[in-house]
Parts: sequence; C-alpha cells; structure tokens
Amino acid sequence: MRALQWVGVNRLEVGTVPDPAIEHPQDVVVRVRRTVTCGSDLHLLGGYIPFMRSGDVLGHEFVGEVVEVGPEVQRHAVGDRVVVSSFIACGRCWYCTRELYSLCDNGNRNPAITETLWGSAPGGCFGYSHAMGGYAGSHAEYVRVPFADVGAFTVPEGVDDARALFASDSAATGWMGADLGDVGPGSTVAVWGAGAVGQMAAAAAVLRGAERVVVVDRLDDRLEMVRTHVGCETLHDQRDDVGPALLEMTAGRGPDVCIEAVGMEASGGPVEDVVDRVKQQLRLQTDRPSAVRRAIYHCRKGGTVVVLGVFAALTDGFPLGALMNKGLTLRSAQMHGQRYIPGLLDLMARDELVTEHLGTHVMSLEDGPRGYDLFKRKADGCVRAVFVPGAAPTT
Amino acid sequence: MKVLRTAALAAGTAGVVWWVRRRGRTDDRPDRPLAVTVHRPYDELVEELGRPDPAALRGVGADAQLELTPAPGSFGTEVRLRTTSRHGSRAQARQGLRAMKQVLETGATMPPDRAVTRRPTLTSLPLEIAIRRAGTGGRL
Repeated sequence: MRALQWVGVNRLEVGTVPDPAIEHPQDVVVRVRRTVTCGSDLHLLGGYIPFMRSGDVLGHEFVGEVVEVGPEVQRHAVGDRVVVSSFIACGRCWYCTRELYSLCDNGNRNPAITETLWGSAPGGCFGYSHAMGGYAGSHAEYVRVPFADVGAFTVPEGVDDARALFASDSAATGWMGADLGDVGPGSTVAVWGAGAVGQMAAAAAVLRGAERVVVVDRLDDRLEMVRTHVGCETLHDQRDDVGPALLEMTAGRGPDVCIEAVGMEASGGPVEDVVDRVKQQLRLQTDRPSAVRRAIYHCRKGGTVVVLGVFAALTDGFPLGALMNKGLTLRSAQMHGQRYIPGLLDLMARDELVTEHLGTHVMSLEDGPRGYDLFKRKADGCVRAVFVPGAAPTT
Repeated sequence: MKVLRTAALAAGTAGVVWWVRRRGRTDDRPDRPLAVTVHRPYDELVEELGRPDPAALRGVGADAQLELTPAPGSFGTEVRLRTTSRHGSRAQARQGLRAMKQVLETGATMPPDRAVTRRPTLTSLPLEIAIRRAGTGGRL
C-alpha cells in the first residue's frame, strides 16, 4: 500500500509499505478515507522528538472504513465507517476504567523510553514515534487499529468524513481542555493558539456556556476563522496589547481558565524567542514554552491553566513563582479521546460543532510532502492539510 | 546550521540512550523484586494463576515464584517476582512480567507493527539500541 513516510529530519516521502493485517484478536483494519496533519507531527518532522525510524508512517487523526475484523471484536463489522481515537488504549487497565485513556498501561509497547524520560509511560499513539509505541500511522491506505472496541467509533449517518475526521484528535483535545479547566457558565476563557486544537478548545468553551471566550494568535487568517466559525473574540499576539486587553475584559481579574494550544515550538517576544530557539537547537532545552508562560502570567489568581500543546521533556524559564504565588491549578494530558468522541459525534450530528473549515487544503496522499510543507510554513492560509488516499495527485 | 542541528540531534539521542542505560543499571539489585500492579481482583488472580500452565505466565515461566497482595484502593493486585538466574536478565524478567499484566488485563500481548525502515540515518544507531530496550520497562 502507499503511505507517507518520515525518512529523516524535515524529509518526507510517499512510498510503498506492507499492508497491515490483524495481529491481535481485538484489532480491526481500517481503509483510511481521510487523514490529517497535526501540529504535533511537526515536532517529529523537525527531529525535536528523536524517536522516529527512517520509513515510519506518520499520521494519527483519521476516519475510515472497517475492512477486516479480529475474532474478539464485538462492536464493529466490515463496512462500518469509523473515526478512531489517536491514542491507543486497552479499556481495561486502572487508568482506562477511570477514563484516563491516554495514560493506558497497555497501549505503549515501548514503555522504557518514556519511563526513562518522564518516570512512567503514557499509552500508545498512531504514527507518533517509537517512544509512543511505534505504531504505524494513518497517512496510508490502510491502518491497523488495536483495541478497536475501545478506540474506534461508528460515525453517525448524517456526519460526513470532512467533519467526523476532527473528532479523532483535535476536537477531542480541545474539548478536553475545556473539561480539565471545568469551563462552564460564568467562566472567562483565554486560549493561546488558533490552530485546530485552539479553535476546538474555544468552541468547547462556548458550547459549555462560558461567559466570554477569547483566542490569541498572530495569524490574521486564523483569527478571522475563529470569529467566523467559532464566534468568539480574538486578540492579535503582536498588534494587540494582550495583557491589558485581558484585564480590561475581566475588569482586572484575568481569565478564569487559560488554555495553551501551541506546544513546544511556540514563538514568543523577540529576545525570548532567540534565547529559546538557540537553547532548543543546542538541545539545552527541548521545548519552547512561551505560550505556557503567557497563560500562567495572565491567568487570574486561583485560576486554572490547561496545557494542551505537546511538550517533549525539558524547558527553561518556567514561571514556577507565578504558578505558586497565584495559587494556580495546572492541568494537562494527552488526549483521552475515547472519553469525548461519542459526545463530539452527537454534537456534530446536531450541527452544534462544525469542524470541516479546519481542513483548508484537501489533497491526495501522494501530495503529502507538499501538504506538510504548506502546513509547516502556514502558507496559503493552511490550518490543516487533509489527505485522501487513492485520490488523484494534483502535482 | 544543518550540520549543527544534526550534530546536536545525534548528541541528544546519544544522551538519551546513555541515560536509559545508566538508569537501567540502577535497577540491577537482584534482591529487589520486580513488581507490577494488575487491575484484577486479588481472589480472581490467585485462582487464575493457580491453574495449570496459565497463559499469562508464559513470559515469566510457569514455575515463577510470584507474590500476590491486594493493592490499596481500587488498583487491583500487586504482583512481585523475585528473579533468579533462570529468568535470564532482569530486563527479560521485567518484560515477561509486563506481558503477564497485559494478558491478565486484556487477554493477549500487543505485537509490534512490522518495521518498514528505509535507510539508516545518523541517529538510527542509538535509536535502534533504545528501541531494542524499549519493551523492557514496567513501572506500572
């Protein structure tokens, strides 16, 4: 089958790889109908998470059709149209039974890497390096889905692929941000990052009844998208004076909940940016956390900061003093998709949650390297590049 | 800049491998049992592991001396294994214990996907070493 492979730092190629097969009685094999780039892939692409083998297939956010079913699978049959959680979870360990699916004890086949880095291993993830289990990704014609009864969800009839696709990860991650922040009526929420996850976090806050939601970014086209499709306020990270604006919005309190949706390659102020980039390139720190710094700094006393962006290991300049002295609650997780996807599909079926605008560039899988190039450079208004395996290439 | 990035990447990867190996060595005390927590009730586990040739014990050996105790709260059962020379290395024993937990909780172990490596890279050698050891963790 054809697949988009990581072949080196900042190098992708479309090649032919073996078809997946049922390897475990709880697997299904899915024919991928749509699969989408994610900002966290850029950390793999750029070598910031150095656990990719040349040839590994990228991709973790996808929708498809079941074509083969393992003998112990009960919820799915050949022909089902499914959206699949990007994180792989067994559904039976202590963490899964508490709906902390991304912490699954049995989803990561390579636990020693992340145990060494972080003390314990989270669950596995499709196409997200050998540190996260070494599973083949979804940027391919077919993908094996382990623990399919737990991680694959039938898409309701009225929800098309373009919308359902984002339930797989970005909408679920965004919803989790609002959930971890306990966002509800009366909350004021600020979101850093107007990519797909940030937009979905803002949409979740709106749907959960937040009083006021504002999204901060420096890309005009994305801020316009937030105003049009999410219906909340925006601030430009460079042109607006974000701190005073947030204080004015909240009459001097600051947002109750600050959600960071940028990750380890964030850009900050000019000096901060240079220092962070040099340290990162020299591996003196792995992560550039400027959006986290801002979320902590601007959050109201006693408020909650939620970190949704992906971080690899170590960072300098973490504002622990502000966190401690302001009595903030810091929450974070990789995405517990299995907890949120059914509810998100219901919202999508009722047209309360729209996501298809996020797929700004729809193209053939064969155009994958071009799609990632657009996505990485944020060129041509690219928010997410969506790949359709089997479609005719345009280049 | 590219050379600097690549060198830094290689150094970083080698550092991680060195760290993995160094930390791995700190666990080389044979008198300390290896342990996992299995999310199954104690009574159920005693019964299942007491049957002849239980599938869950294939990784650690049917004659393994396991110590089972109820875990606090809702965690299930703590399982401890004192390794001896017949278990091979402690890393192998830990992998076996982890496989046992997977079988007891999910019914089977999760096999790896087939590798589709295209070509070696500068970072691939230390990465291969890290991946080879990567299945042996087990702090659960």
